[in-house]
Amino acid sequence: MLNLILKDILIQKRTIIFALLYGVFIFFAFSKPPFSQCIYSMGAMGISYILILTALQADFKNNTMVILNSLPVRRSEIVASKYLSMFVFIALSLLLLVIVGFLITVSPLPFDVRSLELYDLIITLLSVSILLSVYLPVYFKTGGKLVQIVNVLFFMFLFFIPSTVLDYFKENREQPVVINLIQYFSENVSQVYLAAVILTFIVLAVSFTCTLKIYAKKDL
Amino acid sequence: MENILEVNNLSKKFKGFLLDNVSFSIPYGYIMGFIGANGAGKTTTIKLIMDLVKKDGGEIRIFGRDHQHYDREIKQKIGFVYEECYYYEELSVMGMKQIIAPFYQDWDERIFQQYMERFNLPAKKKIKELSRGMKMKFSLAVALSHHAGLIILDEPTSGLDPVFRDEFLEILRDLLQDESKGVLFSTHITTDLDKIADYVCFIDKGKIVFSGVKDEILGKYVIVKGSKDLLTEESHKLLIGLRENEFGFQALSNDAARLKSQLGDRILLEKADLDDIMLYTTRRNREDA
Repeated sequence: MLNLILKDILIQKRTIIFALLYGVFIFFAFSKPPFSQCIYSMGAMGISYILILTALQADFKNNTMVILNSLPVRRSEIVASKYLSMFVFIALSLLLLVIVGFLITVSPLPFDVRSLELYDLIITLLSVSILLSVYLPVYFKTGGKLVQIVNVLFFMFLFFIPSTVLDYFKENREQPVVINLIQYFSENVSQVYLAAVILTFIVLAVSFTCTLKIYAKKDL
Repeated sequence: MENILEVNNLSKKFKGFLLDNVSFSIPYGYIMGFIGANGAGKTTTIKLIMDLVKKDGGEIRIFGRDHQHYDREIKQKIGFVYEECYYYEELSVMGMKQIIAPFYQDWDERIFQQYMERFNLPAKKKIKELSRGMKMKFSLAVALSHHAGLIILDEPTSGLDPVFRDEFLEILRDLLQDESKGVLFSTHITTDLDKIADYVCFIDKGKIVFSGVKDEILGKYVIVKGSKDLLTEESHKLLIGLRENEFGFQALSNDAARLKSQLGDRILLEKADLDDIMLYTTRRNREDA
């Protein structure tokens, strides 16, 4: 299992450099509020997504899944490793952003970077998990054929949803629903976080079970 | 005699293709050549053995154990070479080895390095920059570097030049000095098998035509030639892949004695090689279809 996760990192040394550049870019592009609020989550989402996607594409591109399945590993391990490597990639991308953020803070650049907060981690976890939970069953079912569509949807999601949600809240800040929601959120922070984490794991568990079933029967 | 690989009544249905009740076995210490035309079912059978494709029915036992139930233990001891190159093309030869090696408990770096040297493999070159023959050599080096018991080769020689092909066959022969090993070697180049195979299994259109000791099979089949007026209704049944022209007929038969008694001494019998057997049989089955 560990070998499989390690493999996902080893096959994309170059992507990690690209992800680093993306991390730097995101700090410059989203340095001002309201975007600076979600700088870590958006950055980590983007980076983990690039890393996860590159690893998956490498496995399916040359049908390397045939080799992996010929090695002494179970199919369930191959599936599980993909879900587990997601956590590794999220951790890796947040670490990367923290380092970049720190470097910017100590550098003479004219802007400040806030430090990483718990909610950054939770938002990243939730959003990457949901995307991957849709993505992985499709990947294992079609061998990477339908993923282009999922890709397009993802990038629309990445670029439009956060700003749409923010705009909605800004425009309707007088509405009672919004006021109540914000009030509830700010009063029950830990419950909301907990709910988000539980939701994440439920989604992942359902997706994992589906992917396992799909892949167990798949002819390579 | 104990078998290193046993396939019993294996079946698998695809759209437009049926692998039908395939059975054969390889005893410990021997090489089996697995022959058949393209699309006959060789690769499918190999994929079923490796559990890459899920069987519909039947049983596969490797080292005496069920291939699905003991999949991990079994695959530790299988070396495989496939016709296509499925490696990460962007990685270097060494990079790819570094990924594969940790999966095997018995990975032997010393042996791997020996093969790298023997095959002149460039460690730093990317997989995608390798020629087809080089890729094959790399696959072979990987397959032979973890003390595998069963070596499964799917059309390994199709991209190799004659010189290396010979060396490759030599390596296999050396390997089989160790009687705890076995090789399944699929190919449509039957001359490879003349030199090294002990057993031959012939598959056509998803069905096993025969499977057994190579020399016995070669001893059984003959090419029959003669003039057309010799052909009787009865003799037709003994002839495989019959071809007639204005001068006479030519066919394959696996019952020379009966043919002789039916047609007398006026027919000409010649030894058939594996290519002849494959050619005539495939021809017959095509005409039946």
